[in-house]
Amino acid sequence: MKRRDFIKYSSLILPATAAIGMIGPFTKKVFASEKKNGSFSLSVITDQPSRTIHTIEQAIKNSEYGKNTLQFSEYLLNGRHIGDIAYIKSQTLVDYRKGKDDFSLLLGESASSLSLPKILDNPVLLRFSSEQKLLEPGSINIFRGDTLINQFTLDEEVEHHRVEGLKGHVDIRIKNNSVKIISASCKHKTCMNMEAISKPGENLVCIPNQINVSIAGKNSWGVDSITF
Amino acid sequence: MYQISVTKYLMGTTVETTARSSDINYCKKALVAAYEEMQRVENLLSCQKDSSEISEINRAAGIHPVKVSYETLSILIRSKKYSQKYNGVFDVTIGPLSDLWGFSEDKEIVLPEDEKIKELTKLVNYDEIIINEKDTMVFLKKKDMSVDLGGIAKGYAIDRGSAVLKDMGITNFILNAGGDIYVSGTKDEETLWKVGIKHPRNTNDLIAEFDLKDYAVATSGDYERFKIINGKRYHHILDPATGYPGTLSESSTILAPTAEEADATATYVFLLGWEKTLNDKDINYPLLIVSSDGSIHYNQIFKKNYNLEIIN
Repeated sequence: MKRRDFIKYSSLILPATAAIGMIGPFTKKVFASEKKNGSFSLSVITDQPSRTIHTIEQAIKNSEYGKNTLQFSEYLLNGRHIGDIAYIKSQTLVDYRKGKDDFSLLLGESASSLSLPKILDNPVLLRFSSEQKLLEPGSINIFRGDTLINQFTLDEEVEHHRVEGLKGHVDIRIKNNSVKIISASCKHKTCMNMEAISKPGENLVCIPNQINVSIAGKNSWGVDSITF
Repeated sequence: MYQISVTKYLMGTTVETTARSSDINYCKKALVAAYEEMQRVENLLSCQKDSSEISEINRAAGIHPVKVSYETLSILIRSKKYSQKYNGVFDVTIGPLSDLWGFSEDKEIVLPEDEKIKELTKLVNYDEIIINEKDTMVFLKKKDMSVDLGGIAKGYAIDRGSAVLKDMGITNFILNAGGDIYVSGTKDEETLWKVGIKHPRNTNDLIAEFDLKDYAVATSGDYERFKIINGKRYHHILDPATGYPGTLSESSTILAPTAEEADATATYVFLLGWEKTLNDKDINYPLLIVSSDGSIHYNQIFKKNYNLEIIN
């Protein structure tokens, strides 16, 4: 993997690397994702999604979070990642291996029953969170079909980034904290008609290529769905 | 309890579902079944798919009747009923004009010749869909006629997907296929699901929001698929009478018991414009129309019963 790609992907695998003691510069971004005190999120990178869901559900059920309604989402990841559990509580990454609280102990048992951590190719990212919408707010997530293929931050300046889709490609530009599709290989160019996006919950979609560029975070409109 | 969110590409759009369940793996199974059902409906009814029954009917236009499934027959019967109710302003035989403009396909949009538009407008007539219920046969009377269920099939697919979720015991969800939505149950014990209406010109903003439960909503807008040619906006909602995109509205949002009915009615109301719609006693559904001058019009039933709030 090229260094640039590694840096981009490291924002995805960071929760896992941090949990095993390799805290890098991207930690801050992950920490910043939990703004409300008392918030909670659990990210699990795994190759056994059904079994992992069942195991984590049991851990949550027996914890202080069992009474809340939590958000759940699941994405496929491209490439090689470290399979592990990242537990973030009130803006703080908690190393469940060292934690003495009940939930850390439950997570420790879950990790060992799932044989985590381990290196996985094309795994699944499971997110359990007390926040609406998942992944780090302010990050730009690029999906092809169901797979999260790339990630940027809104404060990056990227003049031109090509995203390969199913039939062709789209080119995006990240500037002044917003993202815009600047060219597309399809003839229709519908996605180029869309305004630049800058707020959590907004997305740019290229249907023929099944590319979805979305800004993560709780949607800023305070609604559950949008008719258009 | 969990809120489980899934997004997939189907029917030429993104289909997003958020469901509430205590069992994630079971809920995922129900969501997979619902998406498979919507995919099945698309395969049956899409005129973009050569293998669909609708494509078969279109290929045989003016030549011979086609034997179809009862499901396809039923949706065509209902389509004709909507067309009768809406005086032909909604008409699924809009196919030749949709193809000419090309908004549903991946092709460059150019302004068609006026003569060609006038010629194809003559092929648009729902009375010339001949339906033989007894033998489940469908025949389009004129050669080159074609059916395009784009104004109704997505709504029907949403209704089918919702029915699958309910059958499997998932009763609290919000299913959104490209802006057409069915809402079931509630977000939690105390909170209703809240739906926003996109602003037709500042598409990064909402124009209004409202609460919804066990009901559908659809919006027709001129801002999703369009092209500006010589300073004029041309979009995909075509008036069967003129063959050109409707000019009276920027968007129309309708609430109805089913997504199919909301879908068909939103197209009709968009083309009819707000003045005629608000005086039409047959339209009892909650609705909001953004007129072509940007003014917002809605009826009291929407305001009163659904906690409608205008934002912009």
